[in-house]
Amino acid sequence: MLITNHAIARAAIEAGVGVATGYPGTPASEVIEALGSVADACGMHVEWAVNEKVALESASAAAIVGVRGMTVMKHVGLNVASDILMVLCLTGVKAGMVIAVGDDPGAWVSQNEQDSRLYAHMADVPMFEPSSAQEALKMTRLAFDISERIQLPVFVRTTMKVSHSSGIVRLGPIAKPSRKAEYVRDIPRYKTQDVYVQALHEWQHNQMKSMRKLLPSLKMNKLSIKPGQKLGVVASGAAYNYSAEAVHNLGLQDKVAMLKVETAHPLPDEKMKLLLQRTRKLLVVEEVEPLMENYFRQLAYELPGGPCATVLGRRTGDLPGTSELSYEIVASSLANLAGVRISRDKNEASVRDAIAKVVPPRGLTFCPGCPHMGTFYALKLFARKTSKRKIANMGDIGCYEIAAFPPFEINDSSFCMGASIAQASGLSYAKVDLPIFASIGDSTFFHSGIPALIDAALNNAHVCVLICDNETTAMTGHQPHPGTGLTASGKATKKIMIEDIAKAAGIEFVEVTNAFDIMGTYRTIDSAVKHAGPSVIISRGRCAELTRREARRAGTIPEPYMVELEKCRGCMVCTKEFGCAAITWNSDMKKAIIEPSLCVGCGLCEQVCMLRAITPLRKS
Amino acid sequence: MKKKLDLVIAGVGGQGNILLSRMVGQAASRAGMEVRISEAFGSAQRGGAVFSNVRLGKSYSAVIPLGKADALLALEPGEALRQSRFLTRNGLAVLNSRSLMPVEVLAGKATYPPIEIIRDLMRQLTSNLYMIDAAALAEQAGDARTANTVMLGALDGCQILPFQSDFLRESMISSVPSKMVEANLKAFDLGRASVLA
Repeated sequence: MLITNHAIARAAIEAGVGVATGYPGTPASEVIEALGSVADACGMHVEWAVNEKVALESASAAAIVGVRGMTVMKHVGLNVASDILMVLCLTGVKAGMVIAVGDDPGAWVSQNEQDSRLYAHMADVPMFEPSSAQEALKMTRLAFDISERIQLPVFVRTTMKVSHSSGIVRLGPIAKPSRKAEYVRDIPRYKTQDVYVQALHEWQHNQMKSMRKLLPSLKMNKLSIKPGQKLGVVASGAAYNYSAEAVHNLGLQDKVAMLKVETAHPLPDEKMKLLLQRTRKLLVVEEVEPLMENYFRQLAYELPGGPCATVLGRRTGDLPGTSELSYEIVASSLANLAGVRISRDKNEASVRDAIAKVVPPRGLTFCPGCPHMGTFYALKLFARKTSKRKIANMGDIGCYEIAAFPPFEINDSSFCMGASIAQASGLSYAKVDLPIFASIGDSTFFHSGIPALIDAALNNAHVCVLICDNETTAMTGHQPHPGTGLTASGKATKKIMIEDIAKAAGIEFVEVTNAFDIMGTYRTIDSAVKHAGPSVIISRGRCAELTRREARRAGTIPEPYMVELEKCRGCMVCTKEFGCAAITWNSDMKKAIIEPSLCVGCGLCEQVCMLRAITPLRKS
Repeated sequence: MKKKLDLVIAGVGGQGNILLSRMVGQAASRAGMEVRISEAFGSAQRGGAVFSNVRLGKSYSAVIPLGKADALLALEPGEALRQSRFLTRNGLAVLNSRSLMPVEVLAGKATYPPIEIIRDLMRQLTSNLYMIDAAALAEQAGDARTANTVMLGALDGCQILPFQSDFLRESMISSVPSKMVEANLKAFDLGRASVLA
């Protein structure tokens, strides 16, 4: 049994990849994680690159000299890597180069729900789209072969529901580690400019023409159509799974023609045309944009005598225009088109309504012992003491985003990796009359915060950059980054200090504080804001999850804190203002209680309690 | 025993929900069944609501349609309410009765229903309901960390899983640290006995 992301990793091993790179991001993180753990055994260079652009640049360079490469990222990571992608598609590669990208329809854990298939069409390189773990293994292996054959990078795209699903996977044999690198100077191919680009662009189009010719022999894109079937369903990835189950559950197997699209680019023109001619209604089920739906309309013009079928989908409103699809959405649309009624039990519906009314909300919270709680509590204290009792704090991508939610509500935005610093500078240039902050994590700072920091120094932006350094890439599962001194395989390597970078970037005020010392961090924030010009505070404290894990491994038990009930007056500062998940409110006693199994003994709540009612359990 | 089973496991991030779903999946795979699992995790694991779908036998998708799950195993009662949307009418529901309060409730911005209300509502949805004090049984097994194994044992005791108990025991044993095997086996049996009684 393998999770789809591990099946993709396995395919890389079977394909004999020599260089595998990536940057962590849900839902794609598990691929490089898995490869990192077997890098030595496979003779593979595996790295968590500083960002996706760097990742794609280095792995594709390997593919250019004849060593198979792979780069893995989430959908928004592809924006960062798009700069190299849009040139790599012109120069092509020599050895197989696969870009595995994980999309997040519904934006469950992302800042948007963009559809990576559009990138495959924009760059004009092939893209495969598996719908299960087994298919992911098969298609990723095939992607390496195809890439080598047509000399273009090939995408494997999964969406969250596929990336994080698992199933029984039949494995294939493992290839000998990658071939030997051969460096050949070929200026017309790799020095892209002017006349060379025209030739390369034409070459690329020819390569894609051969890909289209190759397509039927790959036996992908299964079409099932019988005479008399007036309704057709075209679907890919997870959306195909929902469609197949809906067709089965609605008893429509004999009535509905079905095309499972596995090549998001190039799309299977001939099969799509056949459906346009033979059916009356075509429901296109895809995530997220109406890419195939629109393509059908394009194809319709190429049909002699025009199409027979009406194309329906997200654009026509037969399916919702945004967000992730589900079985329910697809089944109801399909039932509607097929004229099947889905019966509902009224009594059951009322019970379910009653349940829905009392389900307690459960949003994201900081883990007990999280250093960010100390950092943001200090920031909250500072905000309260300002003349307008307000600050502007541009946020970024990582665990510290949780400070946007109760009880902190002090992280004002999240746009894209590294955006916080330049956005804060922008507020300063626009003369926003508030203390201006940017809060950004350690891994995010390395990823794309550095250029903006140099920019802030050059233009003397009056901003305080609060680097929430928890010594790991926590949100995506504790991957190493340049500040951790560890490689993707967990080996020791050079450790790069954020404070050194900040100083080298021209920042005069650079201070490191202990994130678990609230007043110390508060005082540093106060003096940083008074500094005329940009300042950097590195609020450092180890991620609580790591601390907990390390303690478990060492066999030590963290010393929990407790509330001395006679001292607690029920002011609720610790539950309502600070809100550690280990502190609960006992409404009978009207006092706070610390749950010892959750408390990791960070000591932050002891500093928060003004009545000194919170003390280490051991002392009392 | 049915040849197919759709199971939803619900809990709070950090409770070990995913590990449990993989144990059930491994057991089914050892028994020669097809398995698909879908996991809702990622940043959702930071104390948020987490659930996984386990589909045993032939299926089209790793995601269980709403109202079609044969069984719901809930590690937290409030999460049982949330994920009851998956459970079929009169499907099996096995609940840990120990509540974990969400921060919104602690901060006084939301309320958490009393356990009696949770029980009553769940009972209106299904007559096939078991409430287990997993923490108490885990302590009885000698280790508070075995609460999930108690729940796994309780699920097994309901005799709904389409494979023999030993497969589940084996996959549980291979998933826990070797020095905790004994306590986990005890927890499994205590959980099992709690629903058989």
